Amino acid sequence: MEKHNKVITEKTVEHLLELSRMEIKEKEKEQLTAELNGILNYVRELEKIPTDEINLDAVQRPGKNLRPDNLEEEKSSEWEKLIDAFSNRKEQWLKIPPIFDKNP
Amino acid sequence: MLTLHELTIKKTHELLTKKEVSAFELTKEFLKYIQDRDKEIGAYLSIRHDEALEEANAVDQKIASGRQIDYLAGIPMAIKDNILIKDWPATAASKILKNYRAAYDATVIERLKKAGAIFIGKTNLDEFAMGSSTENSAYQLTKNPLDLKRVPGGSSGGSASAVASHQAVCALGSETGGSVRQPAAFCGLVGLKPTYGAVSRFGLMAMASSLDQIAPLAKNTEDVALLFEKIIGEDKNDATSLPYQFNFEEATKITDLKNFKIGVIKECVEEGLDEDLKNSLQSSIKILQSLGAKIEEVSIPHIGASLACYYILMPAEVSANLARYDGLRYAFNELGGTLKDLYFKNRGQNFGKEVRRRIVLGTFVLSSGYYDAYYLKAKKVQQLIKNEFDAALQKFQLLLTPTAPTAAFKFGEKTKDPLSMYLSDIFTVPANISGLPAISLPIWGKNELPYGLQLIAPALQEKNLFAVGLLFEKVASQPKK
Repeated sequence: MEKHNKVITEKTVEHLLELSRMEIKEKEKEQLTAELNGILNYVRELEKIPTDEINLDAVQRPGKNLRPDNLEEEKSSEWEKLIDAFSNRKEQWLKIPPIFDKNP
Repeated sequence: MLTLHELTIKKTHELLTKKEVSAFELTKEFLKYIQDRDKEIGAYLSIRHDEALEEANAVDQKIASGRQIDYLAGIPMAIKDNILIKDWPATAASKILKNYRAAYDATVIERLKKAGAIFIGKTNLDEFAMGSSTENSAYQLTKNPLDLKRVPGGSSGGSASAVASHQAVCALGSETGGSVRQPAAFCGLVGLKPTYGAVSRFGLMAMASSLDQIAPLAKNTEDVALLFEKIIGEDKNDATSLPYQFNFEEATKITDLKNFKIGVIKECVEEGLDEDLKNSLQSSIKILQSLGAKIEEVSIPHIGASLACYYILMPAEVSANLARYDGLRYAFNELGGTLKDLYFKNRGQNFGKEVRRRIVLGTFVLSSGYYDAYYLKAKKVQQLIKNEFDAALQKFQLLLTPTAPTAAFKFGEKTKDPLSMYLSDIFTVPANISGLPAISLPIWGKNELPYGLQLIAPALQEKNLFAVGLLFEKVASQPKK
């Protein structure tokens, strides 16, 4: 990959990994930082495009008309399967590991 | 003995209704063929052997009882593995969904089931549909049936390969930035990216929700249109889905292109294309002219910014949509520790490099202090490009570009540099960020491998894409055997 201006540093990438809840190997961080800088340098070409005329508030969006929130018959088989798809269950509850470390 | 490579939806329907073959025999034939052929190709992640035969039996019973069957009844199709089929694995080619089974049917599956379609297997893809070569699958490589040293394109590479190697009559893929049109072009097939909102995404694993569409792939335009007809329309489970009806007959009523003005987007044909593709585009344009179409150049001044726009908007949505894969939901938890450890380890180890890259990128462009400079700016440029398309489509019924800048490339050619991989979507992304329907039709030059001819229409005008496809196919040159 070519050399690029550094838009983000490895330290920022570490912070972003923390925010996105992903742990990766130390040696992968450098490569990831370089790749992200490559992409960010590329997307920065948008800066040059004048967009003062664009008013996003005036744009109609699909999905604006939401359906009424009516109570529907419960599909218990589906419900069961959804709980089953969780990694661990106790009766009708989803079971998760401890939130806090017991020996911090 | 059936010749599977000749089967289209209509031909298969004829064979079934004339009772020349039963749905059961046909499905069995496909399963037998897949057993050998897919060892070489690697299109499928899972084969629904018994289930497909059961589905076929139900169709045969219907035929035997003298009831009319839908034209899709008994048609063996392949489904991309990011679309849910109830009680069947759906991995999205990610390790993080290795143990997951779908709890319900996607709306498209429900609609196709009702028609009697046979889901023969689930196909390989770039992990969570992120990639352009299917090399990002956590499980296997899928080869291009036209040249085994080359990629089938992506992310719906498995679906494209399955159809191109005659392991299914047609297939469903999904599109966010070209994931059906580009593999269609690489494998010599027809692929359609529907209007945003034409097809319900309920049961499709979300990647970038403001762009995602489920999309059909087949050997010819007719099959794509027939599939499209069946899967479109409003669905209460997808608020963006539109009330939309389309009947294939509408497209067949158009018998020439005298009323068509087609604009060749000049920014897409000016530079960087190789000679063979350029020549092949020129002869395709001549064919369109011979069918009566008026061809002119048109400019979409900011179309070149589409890909940059896409690589801000899409990862932003990816970072939000993939937050749900926490290592606990969807049957995964092989690592111990506290809840926080589990999140970090599962997501770090079970997402592949490309997925991680996009999540981090998306987290960055949405973060405080950078949001305006990246995300908001990209939203504005997106609107600018949309406006330019709208203006062009006031003057032209259709717009024309190549589908991809090259034919299928070799394995490993672009995996080292993510940007060079991203650039293979440069001509497909504009239709996604503008919400417009677009079709890729196979075209050939002097080289062995096909290219794609892309046509873009105004929203909900798929009819015209099909009409042009049907007429074009009759005249366009066939692949060298």
